[in-house]
Amino acid sequence: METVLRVENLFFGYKKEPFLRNICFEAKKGEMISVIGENGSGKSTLIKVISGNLKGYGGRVIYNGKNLNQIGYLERAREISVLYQNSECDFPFSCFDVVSMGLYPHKGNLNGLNKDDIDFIKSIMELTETIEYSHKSINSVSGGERQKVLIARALLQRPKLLFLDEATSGLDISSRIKMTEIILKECENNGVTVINISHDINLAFDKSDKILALKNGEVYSFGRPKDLLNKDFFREVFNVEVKIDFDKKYFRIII
Amino acid sequence: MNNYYIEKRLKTEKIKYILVLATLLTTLVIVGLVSVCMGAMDIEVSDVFKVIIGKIFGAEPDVAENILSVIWNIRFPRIICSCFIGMGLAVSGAIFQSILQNPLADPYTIGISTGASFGASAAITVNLIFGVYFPTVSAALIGAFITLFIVILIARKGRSFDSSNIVIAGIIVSSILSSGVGFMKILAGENVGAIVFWIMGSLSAKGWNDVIIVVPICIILTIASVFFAKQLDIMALGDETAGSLGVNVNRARFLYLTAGSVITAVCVSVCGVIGFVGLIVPHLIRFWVTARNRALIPLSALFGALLLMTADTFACLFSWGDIPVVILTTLIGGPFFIFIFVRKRRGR
Repeated sequence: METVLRVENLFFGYKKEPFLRNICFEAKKGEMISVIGENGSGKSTLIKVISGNLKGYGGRVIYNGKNLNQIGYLERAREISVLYQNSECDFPFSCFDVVSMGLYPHKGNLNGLNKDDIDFIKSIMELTETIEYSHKSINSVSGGERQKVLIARALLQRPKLLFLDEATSGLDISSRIKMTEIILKECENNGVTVINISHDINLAFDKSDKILALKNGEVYSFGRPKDLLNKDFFREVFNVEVKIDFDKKYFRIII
Repeated sequence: MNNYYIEKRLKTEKIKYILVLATLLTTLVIVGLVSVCMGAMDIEVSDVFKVIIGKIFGAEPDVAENILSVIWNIRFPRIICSCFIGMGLAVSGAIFQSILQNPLADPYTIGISTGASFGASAAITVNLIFGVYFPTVSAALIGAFITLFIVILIARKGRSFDSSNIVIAGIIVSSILSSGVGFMKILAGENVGAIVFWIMGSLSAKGWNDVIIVVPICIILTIASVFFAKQLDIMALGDETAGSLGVNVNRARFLYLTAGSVITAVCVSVCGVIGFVGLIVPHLIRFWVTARNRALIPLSALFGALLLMTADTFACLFSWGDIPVVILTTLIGGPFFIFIFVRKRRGR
């Protein structure tokens, strides 16, 4: 399978002291990679750097054979989408307006929405179950509903690489599972590579192809979930003792 | 059913936008005409048309000399100034609210107005003390641009150009300049009235030379903002989301900040600090019609023009002691805004 993203010897610091050190990993087409680690281990910073939103890093980030630094803003947005947790918005845009902003990288400043665009927006809004409140203003819906609107916005961008920074953590359990399934389906059907920061360890180990564990700004381990699944791993990464069970009914691991 | 619903709603929104636009435009023309006819000297509408047609076709209008002079040299420039200054302040208010991601922002948030006031006060004081003539409009413009430059210099942190840094820098610079203005008031002694009245803002005695400064800048920058309005929408979602949608946030914020500040600087330099228009007009349009800047900016422009022109007409009509227009914009606009705000909140 072709490599979509390759991170080589990445260093990054807000001040002189590097905060992320010597990060190396690669993501292949259609893969789902979960980034896990303690609070302050550098997960969000890593996502910001490798999605191109934070500049001034050392090392190399190669997206589809091109250096990330050399890709223009709009070109990058046509390929890479980033979804942050619960971005607030103080202005009464309708949910439909917010979702339709996902087409900006493809349409530019001047082109309005045509019939195909509207059909596409509708299909994504139906998929994410946001169409029911498409007319409501984004600051009058609940936090979970807003997050679903933002997920729809990110999917509308038609990314080839999707970064999620705790994007489903504000959702109730049924919505969380549903949104994860939608995102996984995108991975499968359109070959989207997903890099996901998650505190839901069960979901991360259950659904991801690979796990990237960070500790104090360095990669502790990177590999398939079943290779990492042992008590020592959790003791080292999270400083906790865990019990690992296997749910025979659903063939799932429970941590 | 839902499919049909979205398309229907988009169509309704479009019709609403066109209707509001047409209504505002018509009202603006009517108020403009009424405003020309009203004042210390009553003027017939037919005379106004004669003057307009005569000036357009280069013919000498068939109107008495004094009426021609009042219409052409006094009332037209004043009305055109009020129209475009109202427009400029409303548009720059909408721009500042979006780029600073703050619904409480207005054209004066980053201290451009205080810079202009400082420049004008300095000119007035120097003129009084040394008996020279330095034009206040130029001094105010210089003051405004120096302020913008300093604010940008303070707010820039490496490559990033953070909205809260801009607000903080603006507040600091503005406070320092306010003290400067206070000092100038003391220096001016018994002539302090000149400074106070300048700062309060007035549209009286505006001439064609003021129109030439205000109109082109307001028109060009408003059109440019409408062209790039989608970026303004996206910036309201936050810097990181805007970045991931392909907007170069730092560059866009810098350009819009400059555009909004230039509009504000020109408006303030010509007529002093007219508050409130830049804050409430974009809010009202967001309540009534839409938050999307592509529609918000043109509607705010027209509504701002209408508000200031109406307020100025009233200021002219009831000017027992030449009430500064800012008092009227706030007196009319304030309660109206409260009414709309309370009704909207109850409706929600």
